Amino acid sequence: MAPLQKRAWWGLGVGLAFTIAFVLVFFLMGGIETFDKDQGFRIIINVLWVGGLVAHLVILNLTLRKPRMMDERDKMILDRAPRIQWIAVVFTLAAWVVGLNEVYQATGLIPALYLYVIFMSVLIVSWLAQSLGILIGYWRANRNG
Amino acid sequence: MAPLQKRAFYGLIVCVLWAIALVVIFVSKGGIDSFVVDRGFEALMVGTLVAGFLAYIITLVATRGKRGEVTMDERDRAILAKARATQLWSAMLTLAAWSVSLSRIYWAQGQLPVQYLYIIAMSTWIVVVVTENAAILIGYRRS
Repeated sequence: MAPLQKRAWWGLGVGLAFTIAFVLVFFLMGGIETFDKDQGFRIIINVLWVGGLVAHLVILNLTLRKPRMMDERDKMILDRAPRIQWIAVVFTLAAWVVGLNEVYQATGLIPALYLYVIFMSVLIVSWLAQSLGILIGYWRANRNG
Repeated sequence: MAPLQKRAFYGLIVCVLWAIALVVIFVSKGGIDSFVVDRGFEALMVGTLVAGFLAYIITLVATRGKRGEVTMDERDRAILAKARATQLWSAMLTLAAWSVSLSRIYWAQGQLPVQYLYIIAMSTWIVVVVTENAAILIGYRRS
């Protein structure tokens, strides 16, 4: 397994762990209603998403910092990953639009704090999609020989 | 002009016109306050969005190379890869700008019209497409 592929697996695993923790904390601690009022809740959520970002950067940068660990094929796969990332970002946004519209259809108003939650979720999805994009790239490369 | 460059050039023209049309319609029709209540305005925005998207797709298809023709070399691929990375950053920055500005504007009320989500999604989509084409053209200019 190529070092970049290994890092992508690690990135995906750690990213999923942070995402699950983020979602669980968010819902178990009361969701958007208490997010505004409870400072402890906000700190935990911020630690989780910033922690996830740092973990992702560390995991992938360990490979990217050493040029000898990547050949032309690895570079090509890494270069193609942003395509998966921005597609995932656009679909995440679409899901938020549809979901929140359905939930807040009656009032027509959404809590402003959702903007931050949307931004955080898009960042998280983007990290996961980068790892996934790399893994899909290796899968395709291996399948096509 | 390389095929990718040509495609980006025409794509950028279509996208910029598309973005200008949406902004002009949005502002001239009364902004978010009218968008919330006026179904005709909403339909016009969605129609313009879909029409612009179709125009963009037609542009991409029309400027596509002939079947079987090799239209991209290593340099083109490198430029395209950088453009895609730039695209992602532009999406993030657009979202960050919306999050910060709207939460500042609606801080006192604590709530904002749900229709803003459509505007956010539309603008992010257009920014992403404009950035891709602009970044490709800048990439060719630099190389």
